[in-house]
Amino acid sequence: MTTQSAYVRLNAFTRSALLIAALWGAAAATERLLASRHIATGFGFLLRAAGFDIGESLISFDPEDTIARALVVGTLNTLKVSVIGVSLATIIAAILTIARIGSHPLTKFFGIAFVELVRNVPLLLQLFFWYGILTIAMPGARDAFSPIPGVYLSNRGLWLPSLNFNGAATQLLVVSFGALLLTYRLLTARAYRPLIAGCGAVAVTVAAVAVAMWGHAPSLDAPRLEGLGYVGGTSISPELAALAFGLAVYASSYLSEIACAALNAVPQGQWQAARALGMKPIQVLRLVIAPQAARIALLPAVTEYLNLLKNSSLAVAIGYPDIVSIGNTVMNQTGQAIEVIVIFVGIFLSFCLAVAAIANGLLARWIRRVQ
Amino acid sequence: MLTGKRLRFASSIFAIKRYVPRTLLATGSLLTGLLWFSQPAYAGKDFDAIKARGHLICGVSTASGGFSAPDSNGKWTGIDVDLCKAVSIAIFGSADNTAYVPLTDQARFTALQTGEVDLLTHNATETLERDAGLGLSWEGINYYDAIGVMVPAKLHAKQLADLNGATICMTQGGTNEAAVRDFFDGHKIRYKQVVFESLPALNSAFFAGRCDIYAMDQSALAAARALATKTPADYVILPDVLAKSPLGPVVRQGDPRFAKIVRWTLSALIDAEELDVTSQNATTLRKTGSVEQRRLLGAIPGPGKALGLTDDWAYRVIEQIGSYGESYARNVGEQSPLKLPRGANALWTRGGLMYSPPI
Repeated sequence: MTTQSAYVRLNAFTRSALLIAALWGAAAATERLLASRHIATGFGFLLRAAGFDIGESLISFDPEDTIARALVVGTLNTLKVSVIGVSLATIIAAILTIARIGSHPLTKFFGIAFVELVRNVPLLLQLFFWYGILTIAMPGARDAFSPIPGVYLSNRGLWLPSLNFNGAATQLLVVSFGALLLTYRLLTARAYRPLIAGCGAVAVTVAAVAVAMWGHAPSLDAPRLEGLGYVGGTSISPELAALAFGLAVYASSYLSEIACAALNAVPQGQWQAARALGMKPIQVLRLVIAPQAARIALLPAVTEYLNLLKNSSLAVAIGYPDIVSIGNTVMNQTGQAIEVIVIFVGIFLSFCLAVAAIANGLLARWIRRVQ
Repeated sequence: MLTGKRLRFASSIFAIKRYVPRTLLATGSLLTGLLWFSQPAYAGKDFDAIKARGHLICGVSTASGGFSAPDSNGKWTGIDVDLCKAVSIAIFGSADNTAYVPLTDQARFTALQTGEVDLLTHNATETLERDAGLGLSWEGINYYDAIGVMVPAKLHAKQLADLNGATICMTQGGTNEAAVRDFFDGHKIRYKQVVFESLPALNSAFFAGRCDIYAMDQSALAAARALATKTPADYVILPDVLAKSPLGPVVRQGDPRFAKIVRWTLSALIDAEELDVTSQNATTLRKTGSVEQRRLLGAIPGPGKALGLTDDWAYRVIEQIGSYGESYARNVGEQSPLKLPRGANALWTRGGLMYSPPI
C-alpha cells in the first residue's frame, strides 16, 4: 500500500472536489487576467441580440434573436450535415467494400485506386474541389435546369416543392410512428405468412395516414423565381451538398478499409466450416462472417463517424453556417474568444462522449451475448 | 456479469476512468498557478519590449490589394504596410526593422491581444464594441472607407432596391454581416447570405456566379475587381453605401507611449502633405523651409524628445516613405491598378476628412 500514490489513496468524493477546485481556480485566474487587460469576460453576451442573419437553418431564426439561439442553429446545422454525411458515407463504403472483396480484378482495381486517392489528399482541398465543381458546373438562377415544373437545379442549389401539412404535422408523426412499429412487428413475427403480413402492414399504414390527414389536406408549396432568388419550397444549398458529399467520400474511404480489415479478421475456420455445411458464399458472408465482422468493426467505424462530425467544422471554408462558422462570427462581433471556444469544446465533447459511451455499451452487450 | 475476461475487456475500454481525472487535475492546478501569478500589463512595457527586440512586428492582412499584399518579389507593399514601416523608421531609423505577420480577419484581434504582434495595420474598422471591449485601441484613421456592394453588370441594377431576393457573399470577421443585415432589413429587401472564411474562397465563389452581390469595404471591392478577375468590365460597384468603415492602426491598451508614437506618426504623414513636404524636397526644406515645415522635420528641437524618439523622427519617415498623399497615390491611387479617388481621404483643405493636429 505504501507504493501507491497519494491520489489513489483518496476517495472519489475528495478526488472530484479537488478536480472542481482546480478547474474553478483556472477559470477564475483567466477571468482576472482578462479583466486586467480590459477585455470583456463572462457569458452574458449569449442573451444579446445577434445582429446577423444565418444563411440556412432548421428552426426559424431572425437577426433579433439571441446569440444563444444562433449557436443552437449552428449546432443543428452541424448535426444535419453530419447525419447526411454519415448515411452517404456508409452507403459509399458498402459499395467500395463489395468492389474490393469481389473476385473481379477491374472492380478491385477501381476500389483500391479510389481509396488511395481520397485518403492521400487533404480534406480541405477535396471540399474546395467539390464546391468549385458545384458552383462552376451549375447554371445561374435565371437559366436553372428544370426537369419537372417545381424542381430547379442551379448554382443557387436544388430547389424542391415542399409539403405543407396545414396543422396536421404532429398527428401525422405520431400515427406514422405507430404504424411503422406495427408493421415491423407484423413482418418479424414468425406466425404469419410473409405475403399476408406484408399486405396487412401496408393496409394498416395507409389507413393510419388517411385517418391522420382527414380534414387537413396537405398542400404543395412549389418554389418560384422572384427577383433574383426563389421563394417557397425547400432547398439543398451547394454548400450543404458539397460539404456532405466531400465529408462522405473522405470518410467512406476509411470506412471501407475498416470493413475489409474486419472481414479479413474473422478466422478462416468460419469460412471453411460454413462451406462444409453446404452454404453458398453469399450466404456464408451474410449469415456467418458479416455479424462477426460487425463486432470487430464497430468501434473503429464509430470513431470514423465522430471524425466526420469533427471534420464538419471545415464548413466555414466553403460558406456553410455550422456551429464553428457561427461561433466565429460571434467571436468577431463580441470579441469573447475564450468563452466561445469553451462552448465549442462543450458541444463537441458532450456529443462525442455520449456517442462513444453508447457504442461501448452496445459492444459490451454484443460480447456478453456471444459469450 | 462482469467477471474474468469480460471484466478485463470492459476495464480496458473504461480505463479512461483512471487516467483522465488525474490529468485534468494536474492541468487545472498548473494553469491556475501560472495564470494567478502572471503579471498584468504595465505602462511602457510594449515599447520597451520592441526596443529590446530590435524590430517591430506588424499584423497585416493576407492579401488585401493596395493595403497590404506581397508583390511578385515577396515584399510587402500597401498603404497599411507603409504606415507600419513609418512607425518602424520613427523608432529605429530604418524600414528594415519590421516583420510582417499575415492574419485572417478572424485571428487579427486575438493575435494583437496575446502579444503575437505589436501593431495591427490590417484595414480594421473601428467600432465602439471593438475599441472598448477588446482591450485594444485605435490610434487614428488612415483610410475613411465605406461598406459597398459589387454586382455583375448583366443584372442591370442601378441601385440595391432592384436586387430583391439576391444572394450576398461576404467574409466573416468583419463588420459586413451586421451592416448588410441593418441595411437590407431596413430597406425591406429580401436576401440570402453566404459567409466565407477567407477572401480567395469568396472571390472564386463570386466570380463563378454563386452569388449576386459581393459586400465588402469599397476599397476591397475595387481591389478584387482589379486583381481577382480577368473581366473587370463585367462587374460594377454600386453607389449605395451600407455603413461607414473607418480603418486605422490598432495597438494594445496599457502602453500610452507606443500608442502616441503610432498616432503621431500617422499625423506626421498627413501634416507633411498639408505642408507640401514630400520625399524629394524633405532634405532641402529641413534647412530652408517655413517654420512649420522645419518644426515637422526636426530642425527645431523638442517634439521628438517628448515622444521618446530622436528629433529627426518625422524627417526620416517622410524622406523614406513620403507624405500621406504620396503613399496613397503609390498604393491605391493613380499610380496603382486600383485608381481609387481621394474622396473622403483628401485633406480637409480640399473637401476631405484628413485633418491632423499640428506638430
